[in-house]
Amino acid sequence: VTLERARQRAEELDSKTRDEIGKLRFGPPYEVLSEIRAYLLRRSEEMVTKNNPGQLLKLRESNGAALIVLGPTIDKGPTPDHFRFDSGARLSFGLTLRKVDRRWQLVSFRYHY
Amino acid sequence: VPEFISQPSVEIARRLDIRGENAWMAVLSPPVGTTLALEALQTELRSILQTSSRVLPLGVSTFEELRDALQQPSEDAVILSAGANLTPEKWSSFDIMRSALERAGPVILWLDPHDVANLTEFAPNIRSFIGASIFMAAPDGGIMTDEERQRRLEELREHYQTSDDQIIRRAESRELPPEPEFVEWLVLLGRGDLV
Repeated sequence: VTLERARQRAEELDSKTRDEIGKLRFGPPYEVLSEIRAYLLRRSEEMVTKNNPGQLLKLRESNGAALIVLGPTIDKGPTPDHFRFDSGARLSFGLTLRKVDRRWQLVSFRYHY
Repeated sequence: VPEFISQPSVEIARRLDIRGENAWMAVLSPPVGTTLALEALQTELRSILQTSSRVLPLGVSTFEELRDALQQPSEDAVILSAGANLTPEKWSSFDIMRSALERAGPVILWLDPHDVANLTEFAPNIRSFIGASIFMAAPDGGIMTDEERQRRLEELREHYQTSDDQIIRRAESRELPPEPEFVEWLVLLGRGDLV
């Protein structure tokens, strides 16, 4: 496989993933936040790591859009706001949802792991 | 009204999760935003306990209706909403049926703060079920404060060396790249309509 072909495949996969995610519909942003937080709390307990997803995860709603974030937007190294794994890895992410009819669609996401 | 510890819904749900089966708790509704607080509690119960949750109004149900509703099903999380007009007689009859209320899933008594006195006086057996587990419903710590919003905006302005106005102008003219950071920037600026 050439480098060019590999890049092309990666872009195709990326496009396919975005299309699939774009078709998903979610409940209200607070429900999404709650589900992510509950998952992170369970993971944190399983790993016996010192995290506080109850304080780390934040929601902001504005004009039919909602932002769910954990950790810094621009990663510049470890901070107390990251979610920490027992492997030593750290996680930060951001999800933006937009209201479509009565459901919510994921319109953008980023993560740093 | 005595002082009770304030806890956000997520912490109340976690306490119930730790306590396991047959857990009872009383949660005092906040002075404003009661409906939203009740919805938030239901959401957290579903997320943390990974089970369904429902609200049963205490004041309007007969003994038989309440007993049947609590047992069908008996594993989910039930919030018994006392409402503002629960009479001493209703509290007493509720207290007498204490044993019939026992179930596997958790029961949360949703009370007006002023109802704690009625609970203690007219339903002492239910009060003993609850024990020290009485909490004030507190706002969720997951809602971003304005200070946190400003900090994030400052972080973006500094990193991209761009002003908020420039970001809005580029979004309005559809020249803003679709990178997630720019989308977040718009939401932080209260311009979710441009997303």
